Amino acid sequence: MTEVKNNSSVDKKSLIDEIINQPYRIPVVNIAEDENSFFIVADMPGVSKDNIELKLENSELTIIGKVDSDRNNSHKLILKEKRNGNYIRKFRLSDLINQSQIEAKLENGQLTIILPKKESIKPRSIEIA
Amino acid sequence: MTLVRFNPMRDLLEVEREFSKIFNEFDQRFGFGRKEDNDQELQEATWAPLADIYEDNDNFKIKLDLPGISKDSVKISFSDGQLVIGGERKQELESENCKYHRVERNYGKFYRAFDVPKDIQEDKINAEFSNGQLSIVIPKSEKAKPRLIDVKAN
Repeated sequence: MTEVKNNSSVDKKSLIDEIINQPYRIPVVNIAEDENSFFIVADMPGVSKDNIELKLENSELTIIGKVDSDRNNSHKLILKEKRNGNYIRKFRLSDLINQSQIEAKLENGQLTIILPKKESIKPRSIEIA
Repeated sequence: MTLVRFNPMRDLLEVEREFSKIFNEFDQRFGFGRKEDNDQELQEATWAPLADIYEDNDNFKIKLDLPGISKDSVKISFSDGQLVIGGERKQELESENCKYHRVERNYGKFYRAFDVPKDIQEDKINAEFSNGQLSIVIPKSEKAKPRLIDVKAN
């Protein structure tokens, strides 16, 4: 019997596979809503554009951010307040969201995700004939 | 109305403020002690960024988390052996009429001060901002650096 290796179907390795065994923390977020969209704003200091990934699977949005640690053995630690680790947080998206139109931007360690609502549920005024 | 997140740090700042007030008054009555210039800023501050401090042979290094803040709205000053980092994070609405479901992030004025050892080169303090992290490098003065002493054999 030979060992079956099923690697061929995975074409792109997700960031989460790379960091799953490392310690992680939950980024703090704001969630807001206006008539057109929902907004998620997350604090992810230390994450660069290349090290961030948004994964959408079964209406579950996962934010993954990898922090490049600059751990250096010649350093002596004097004060440690910040927590180490990468960022992972999951959100279950409601049915109101148009999942194909999600946009995101990363600026100064702050991630903004715009989740547009579906046209059918947007508030509108109905003309009276 | 701006929502302000519950922050245990604020109470801590309050305690620190009370203490320094008591000691300052005592010092000033006897003619020493300096006036707190940063008092105003400290009083207005609503949150304090978290910091890590490292030391290696040549430098002290302070790293602070300041996500979502542009480099122009952070003010770093050094006087009397104290390094002060202050600024403000404004709550920017995502759009004009939006309502919030959840606010976990800190907003408002922030303030952090560190007493720095004397043996440093204060004119060479260097600060850098990247990906929402502020790193401040404080070079040690030559005499404070550890050095190897050659042992001469006769």
